[in-house]
Amino acid sequence: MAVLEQAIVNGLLQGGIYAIIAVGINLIYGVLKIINFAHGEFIALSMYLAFWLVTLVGLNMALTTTIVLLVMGLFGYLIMRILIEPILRDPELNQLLITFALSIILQNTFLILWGADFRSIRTESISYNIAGILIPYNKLIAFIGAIIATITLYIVLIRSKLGIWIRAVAQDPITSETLGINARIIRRLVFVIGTISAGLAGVLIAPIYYIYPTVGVPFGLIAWVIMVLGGLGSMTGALLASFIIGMFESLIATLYNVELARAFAFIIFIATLAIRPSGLLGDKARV
Amino acid sequence: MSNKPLMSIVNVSKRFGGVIALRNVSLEVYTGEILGLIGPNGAGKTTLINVITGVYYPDSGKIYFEGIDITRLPPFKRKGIARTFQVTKAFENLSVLDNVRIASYMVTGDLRQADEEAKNILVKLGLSDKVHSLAKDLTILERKRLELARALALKPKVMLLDEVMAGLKPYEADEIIDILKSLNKEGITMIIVEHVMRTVTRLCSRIVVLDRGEKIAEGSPKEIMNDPKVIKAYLGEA
Amino acid sequence: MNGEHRIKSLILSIIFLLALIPWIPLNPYIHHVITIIILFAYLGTAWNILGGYAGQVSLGHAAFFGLGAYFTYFFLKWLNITPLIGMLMAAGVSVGAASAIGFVAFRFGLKGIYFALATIAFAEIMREVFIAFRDVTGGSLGVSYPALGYNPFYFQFPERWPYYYFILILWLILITITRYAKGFFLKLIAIRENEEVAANIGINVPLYKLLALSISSFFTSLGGAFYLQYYRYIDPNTVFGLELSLDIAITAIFGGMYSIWGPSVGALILIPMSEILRITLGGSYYGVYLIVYGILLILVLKFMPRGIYDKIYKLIVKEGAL
Repeated sequence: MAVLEQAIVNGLLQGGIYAIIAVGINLIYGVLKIINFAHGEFIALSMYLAFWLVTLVGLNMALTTTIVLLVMGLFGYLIMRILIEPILRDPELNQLLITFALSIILQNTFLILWGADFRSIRTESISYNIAGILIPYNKLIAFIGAIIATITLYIVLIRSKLGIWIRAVAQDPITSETLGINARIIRRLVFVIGTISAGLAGVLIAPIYYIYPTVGVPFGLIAWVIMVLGGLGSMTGALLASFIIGMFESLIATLYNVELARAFAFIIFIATLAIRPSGLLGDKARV
Repeated sequence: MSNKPLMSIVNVSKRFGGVIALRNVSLEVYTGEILGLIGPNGAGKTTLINVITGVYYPDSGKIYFEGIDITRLPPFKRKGIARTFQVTKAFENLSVLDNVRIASYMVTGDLRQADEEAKNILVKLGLSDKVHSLAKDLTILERKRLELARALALKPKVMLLDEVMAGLKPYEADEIIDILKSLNKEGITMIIVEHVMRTVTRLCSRIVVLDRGEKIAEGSPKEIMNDPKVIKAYLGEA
Repeated sequence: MNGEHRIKSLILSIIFLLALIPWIPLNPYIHHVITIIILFAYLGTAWNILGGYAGQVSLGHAAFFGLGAYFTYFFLKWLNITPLIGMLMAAGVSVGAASAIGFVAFRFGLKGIYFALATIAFAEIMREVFIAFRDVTGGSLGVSYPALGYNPFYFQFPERWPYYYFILILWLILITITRYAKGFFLKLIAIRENEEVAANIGINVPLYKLLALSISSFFTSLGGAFYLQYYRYIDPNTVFGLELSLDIAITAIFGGMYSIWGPSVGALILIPMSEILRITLGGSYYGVYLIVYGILLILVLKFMPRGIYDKIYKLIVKEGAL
């Protein structure tokens, strides 16, 4: 019986990490209406950066996190100006393929720069034992960090003036402009925020996973499953879906194997697209 | 020649959520006539067209065409009925000839024959010098003619024209009216949805008036124009 | 129309040359590269029936490729059925799977990017499932079958050239079908250009989309069967991989989705390019090829969305340059 509870706890922890990824990618899609195939590679990039800063330079996690977030922010800004902005008006399929091309470029840049070897950050691998359930320290920290970040982002979006501006541009960029909101700046900001959130996710999970050039791919894919399930453009939906998928994956992976868990996630994806394209909480109008 | 109607619409109702678009509408269309379908905005005219062509299925009621119940047939099975759209639609990136040729092919099943017939139709509709132009490069008037050409290529028994005059200047509208008159002489029955009374009175032998989803009047143009119910529907309370 | 005639003669000469390739004494590696070019020309053309003609861009065609490869293998290994028949049966399985995803997608009106995403998910499901059932499929390690020497009944040859002719003939069959079933393809084009108008003029849109998908999957699956025979080793990450799906789609898009020769031209340019870069840069510098590929892809999608063939065609037909 402890197996089931363990699976649920694992699922929750995983869900938290998915949450910060999903919220970032959801923000980007909501405002820019673009499907970023390379989001997984953004996560991978920050994982690599974290790895090098900790292993080569010997920094502690707090300093590492700060630097990585700054670098990722800059990186996001550059990608936005060079690649994303020019294609915002292009056909959706072209956008998809172009971001796919970006993901290929990034994956292979990692390969050339840092080789195909699996890296890992050696940290304390304590696990807390609560009522027979093992909670690894790293995963707990990641979960807490992700939740804090997600809640912060959520509050900013719902409560702050900036959040209102962002949602205005997401809903109706043209009218927003007439109201004095600089849509272009908002779009750039949103992409940078999205990239930073991917960066945060990467830093948080770097101690947990092996790091290699294509590590970002499964994260990129699952992010889209979560997005569609939650409802494109709905923050709350993305949060809800993150935990549903996290739990679901964990349960099936424990009962059967991890590949079937992923296969089922994709089946849910197709089913959602077909039967309820607005997802759990999205607007029907959107799709 | 019996006076059995070519098409019968019997007690058709259709609602969308809370809005009742059509309420118990019944009317008949006789072979060879040009029937006008008029009414203020939101009266349900386009919805009726969509129900006839199969874009929607009615919630209740039936539609008979040449004696056959077509109420729940999918659009592609409703042969003999052709329509034009309020906002012209075409295969934008294909040539004018291809646009008509594909429609022709659907009916003839032979590419060579389709090619010939398409060319003939384009000549008849005055588009012979635009045969190789892309549909997206045409003017509005030319696009309307293209829609008529495409509809004609389907060799329809009845054509449904949804606000075909929309966006045209009076002299352009006159051109279309002449084309429609000559097509009608060749034996094509027509239902014309229109706003502009001038077009309707010049073309239609009989008119049906819809208001808020219901049929409120039916008769000759003269009768309709003097019908107080019709006047009230268009102008509101006196 | 002199330009058109020139193109036709050019194409016929190329086909004639291709038939003679095995007789020309070349480095076996060159023969191999030419075979792979034909393979991708074939796969791209099959993909294009759905993507270019019907306008439904699929990014999950590896699903059918992999089913073709694996089921040909299963029929051989478990039922001792020669691949010559096995591959047709495997193609049947593929068409079944295609009908399933097609029914779901088209019945629920999935279009454009949502259809593309659904196809990605579909191929991923296949990949994960085939890894999951490791006892049957060999998991990530894949399966192989031993060379049986010369056994034509079982489609086994020690030399490579019979396989080359096999894929060449498949490609030619596909091209011929497209040339001669013009009416069918015309209906697909109508669907691509404007579904509403297509339905309006009497085309059963969901049915024809399904037909396009089925035919496309059938031929793609045979390509997978070829791959099994040619390499004698398959694994889920390769034959069901997202990379393969995207390679096939990009070959067609890059070459040109709007003509029959586009995908073949795409293969003709992209495959040699990858091989040359791989040779000159070798080792972990293989990554450089893919980076170049990525940049090239972005440029083409941005500045030449109708593909290379379209540009070349316009040049030749306009100027009668040849």
